[in-house]
Amino acid sequence: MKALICYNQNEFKLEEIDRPEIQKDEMLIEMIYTSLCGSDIIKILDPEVKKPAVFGHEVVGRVVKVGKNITRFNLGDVVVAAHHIPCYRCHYCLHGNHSMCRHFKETNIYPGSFCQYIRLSKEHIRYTTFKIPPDSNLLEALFVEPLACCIRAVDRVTFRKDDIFSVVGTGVIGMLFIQLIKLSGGRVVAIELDNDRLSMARFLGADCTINPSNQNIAREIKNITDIGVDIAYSP
Amino acid sequence: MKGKMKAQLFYGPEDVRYENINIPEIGDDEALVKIKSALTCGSDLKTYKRGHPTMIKEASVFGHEWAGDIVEIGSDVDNFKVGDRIAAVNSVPCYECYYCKLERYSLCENLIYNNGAYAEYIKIPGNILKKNTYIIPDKIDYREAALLEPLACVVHGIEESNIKTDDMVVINGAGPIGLMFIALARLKGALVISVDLSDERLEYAKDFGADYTINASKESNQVAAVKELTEDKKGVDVAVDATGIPEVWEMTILMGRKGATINLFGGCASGTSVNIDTQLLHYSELTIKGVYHHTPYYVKKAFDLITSRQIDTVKFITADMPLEKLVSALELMGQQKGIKYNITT
Repeated sequence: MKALICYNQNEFKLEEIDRPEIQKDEMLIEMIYTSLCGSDIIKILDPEVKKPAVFGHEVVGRVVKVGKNITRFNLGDVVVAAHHIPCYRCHYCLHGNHSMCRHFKETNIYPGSFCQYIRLSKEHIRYTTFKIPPDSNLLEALFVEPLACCIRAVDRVTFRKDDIFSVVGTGVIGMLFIQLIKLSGGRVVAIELDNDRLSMARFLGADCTINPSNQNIAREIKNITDIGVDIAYSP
Repeated sequence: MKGKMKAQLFYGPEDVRYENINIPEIGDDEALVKIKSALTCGSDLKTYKRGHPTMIKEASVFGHEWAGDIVEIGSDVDNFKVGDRIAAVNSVPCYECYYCKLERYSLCENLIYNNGAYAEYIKIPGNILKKNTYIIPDKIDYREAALLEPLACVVHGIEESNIKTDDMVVINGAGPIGLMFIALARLKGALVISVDLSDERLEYAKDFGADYTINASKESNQVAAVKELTEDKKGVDVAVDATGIPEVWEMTILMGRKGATINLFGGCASGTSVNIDTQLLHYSELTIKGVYHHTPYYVKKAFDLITSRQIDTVKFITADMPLEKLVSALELMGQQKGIKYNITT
């Protein structure tokens, strides 16, 4: 199958590698869409991260092969899967901090999503794989995993209607935050160096925008609320 | 391990038989345990008297509070070995269903109960072994560790009771569960009122730290007797039922002050219902809640309470009884004699 192999931050090659084998509790999906996450870029740039490697973890795929023990999914199903799995047993899991779990950090889809076929383990299938209704927009489904991260972050703060949030940085995650905050009744000040992104932020609902390259953040914030924002996010 | 073992089987209400049955066979991810201690539980008594709505099918082994030694282990198990002294609880959530995704693990749609502690051997299913089983430290006896499951339920109950330091808390019922509530409420810094019908049990209640005791059989109005102990007779901050009697549930609700938390913990017989004064609920802003079972978090908390000896586990065990005398032990519980019995083989 084809896979995008990263040799170093400046060298990527589209190569033929072996299609993953699956066991009786696993399944293989064919990638339909995959997207680049900020954390992929961090891994690509980080010299400590082992390379060559196949990166990517945000994926929408079609089930093309199922192990004989798989009952919940069938050939042809379109699915999304989150790549990390908590152990549900360690101190962090028992306290609801699943993303601090060592097993969570160590688990991943194989070999990554920047390739044609991806293996989902027994645990992925059991805990983090979801069928997508056939009539949904598959490109939108790509946002399941990053949106889940943002929902978790919004759930963790206590706020009331009309509370003012600052969102510092309006990349994909910042843009998702803006929409979630608006959905929950908050007001948003988006802060970003790129004017095109700031227009997009306004389009998605930001009440005010600040570009620190030509505006003074402290002064602008003071114009909006002289006591400071209620919640500050820095995605 | 092939062979026969002695076990107590539940056939129907008041029909429990001591039989020779096959030792359970284990799968690759399971373990077989030689039971060293099995404790009697109020729900076993209920099962014996009237059957159980969710946990027990007819003609099956029962008993679910236990500790023992692993004697056989499946090839896929890597976190335990033969010879480990362990305690486990009777279920584990699936982590897959709607309620697990909400992290409401005690409401899991796929809780499968593991019963069979009133026997020589018990099988532990793979998922319980992976996520709800603990190795007992050397300093802790089997029978102390066997308290893991009921204590986990009560830790769950306490954490849902919204107890603040110096709150007045009433615990209705001083059976094993009520006594655990008393001990844990004291750990939360509460002043505790224990209400029961038996002087013997109220003595236990004092021993576990109850500040006040009320023998309801000697009171014409036990709600008034509880309120009498609170400032301006306004009622308690937190009222708990640990009896599973609908009439006591109703009285528990009446014992709370305005804004009180009412924890109706004791499960009542199926088909029963209670009356709640709508005006009282509305104008007093009562929080009335049911709490069921345990979750892996509360199991870990209970395990830590046992091993750190913050709970005096030994005091909960009144006497040892051999397996063949199980029914006598349950009858004694039914007569409100003693707290828990340690069933041994």
